[in-house]
Amino acid sequence: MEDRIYELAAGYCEGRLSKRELRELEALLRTDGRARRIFTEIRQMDRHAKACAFPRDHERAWKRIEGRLAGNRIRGRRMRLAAAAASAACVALAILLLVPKFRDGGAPQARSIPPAENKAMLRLGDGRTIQLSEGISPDSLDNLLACKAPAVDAPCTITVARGGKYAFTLPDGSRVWLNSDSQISFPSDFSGAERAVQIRGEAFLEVAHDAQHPFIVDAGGGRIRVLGTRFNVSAYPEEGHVVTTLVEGSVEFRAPGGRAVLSPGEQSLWNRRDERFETRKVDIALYTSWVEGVFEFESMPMRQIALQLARWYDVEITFDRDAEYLGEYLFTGVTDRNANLEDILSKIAETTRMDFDVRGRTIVIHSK
Amino acid sequence: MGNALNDKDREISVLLGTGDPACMRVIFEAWYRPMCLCAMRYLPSVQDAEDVVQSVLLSFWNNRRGREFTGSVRAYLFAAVVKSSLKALRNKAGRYFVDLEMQLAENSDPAADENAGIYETMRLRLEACIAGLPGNQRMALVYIVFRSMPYRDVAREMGVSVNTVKTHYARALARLREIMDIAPEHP
Repeated sequence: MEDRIYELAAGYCEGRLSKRELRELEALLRTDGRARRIFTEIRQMDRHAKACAFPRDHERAWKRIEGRLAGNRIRGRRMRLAAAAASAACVALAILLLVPKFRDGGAPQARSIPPAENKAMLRLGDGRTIQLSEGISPDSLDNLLACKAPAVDAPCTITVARGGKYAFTLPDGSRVWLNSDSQISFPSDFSGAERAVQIRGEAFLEVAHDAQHPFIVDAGGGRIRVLGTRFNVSAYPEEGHVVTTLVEGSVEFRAPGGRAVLSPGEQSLWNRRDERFETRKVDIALYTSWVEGVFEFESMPMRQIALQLARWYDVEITFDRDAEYLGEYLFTGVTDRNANLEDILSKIAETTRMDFDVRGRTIVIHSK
Repeated sequence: MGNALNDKDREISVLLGTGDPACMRVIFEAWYRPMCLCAMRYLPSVQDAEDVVQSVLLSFWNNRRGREFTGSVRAYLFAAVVKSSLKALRNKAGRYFVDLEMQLAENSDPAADENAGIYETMRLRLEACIAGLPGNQRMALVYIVFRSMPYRDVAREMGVSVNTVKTHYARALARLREIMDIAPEHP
């Protein structure tokens, strides 16, 4: 069977062939010239690709070494960013892995631009505002609402500024994770026929199941209707799309121009400007990992990554006039959202053609 | 470049003499990657290569700390990596074709390991070419090569069998080689 040489070659490259398979491969290579050629080429390319892709996850390697060093006080810090850059001319995929940042365990490094913190502002229906922070357990929000919500019909609003994040539970038991620069409005009691909320920015929702009271999300001019499900919606005014990503259950997204019913693993993109719909299968982790404290990008233009970083760290990121083209670079990568911005930027700079000029809270990207 | 390395050697030698564990950090940051690339010339599995490098680093620290090092730390470490890699390859004779691997290793350019720029250029080219692969092949390759995922996990991620992953990966490599038009081993 023709695929056999491919299977064996790939198994060999992973170093996981059994003795029997290795003998089978050996016999094949001895008797079949074509198989021999294919195998050698695959093995060469495997080495080449792995060498190009290395380094990866040095942090773990360092941890292993560190753990076995006697009397060592050095601590590695979790910081991993894999980024892939591609030229604007050919739509290419590129991946870089960033080496971990090291520092002495004793003196913590100055955190000039720290990551987003748990903070939000709750505005009650009567206009009163309450600052929410780590002091208030996000889960106690419904208690807070129950005690303080006035008997007015106006909705409550929770706003997370740039450089913030917040997770809490709505009065109906649905759980909400709000990303930086995002807002949700909701009735203080979900007593109506529908549970209707409005979202600006990005949120991940775990909607409590209640078939009698559909959960409706208005976001960026589109409307998502759900029964009980987990999904992510991103509707930043400065981004042209409303992006709905379904993890579990089923949702219907309606907007001028059409509707889409999503199955788990599917995503709808609605272009606000031309009202075009697109539904596609995606790696949901890419769109939901932010909830778990991870930035995950795949083939994402640098311009969009800059937007995300800007919101999370509450900074301005712009491209130098001669480096506008870098905005089209496609990156693929993963990094800890708890890293300082400088850590991320310096590692990107080390491994790409990009350089970052940090002045206060303004960052200019230029090419090296 | 040469001076920088000499400075690095001196810095490490002093730290080593005082038994300062920061020494290992300096070595790790300076040479971990090139040392791994060097080991990867002999060992097909990246994990095996990293194991070798880590053992070399640890035994260097355990045997040499407390005394200043005379000579080039860098040269010493790289020679140790080559020696250990060959030994590891022979120990794994049941999994690999030792002769073939040694032949491939000898045909590749050791200087490339220490010249990040070479890999940088090759990587950009590789990445550009990856974009041209069929979806399944590209996905398998990205997971395996760039995310270092075991085939088993890739299979789960892609919802296909392990054998299918192997076929995707191997075909991706064969196709890539064609697209990239690579001469036998790195030029």
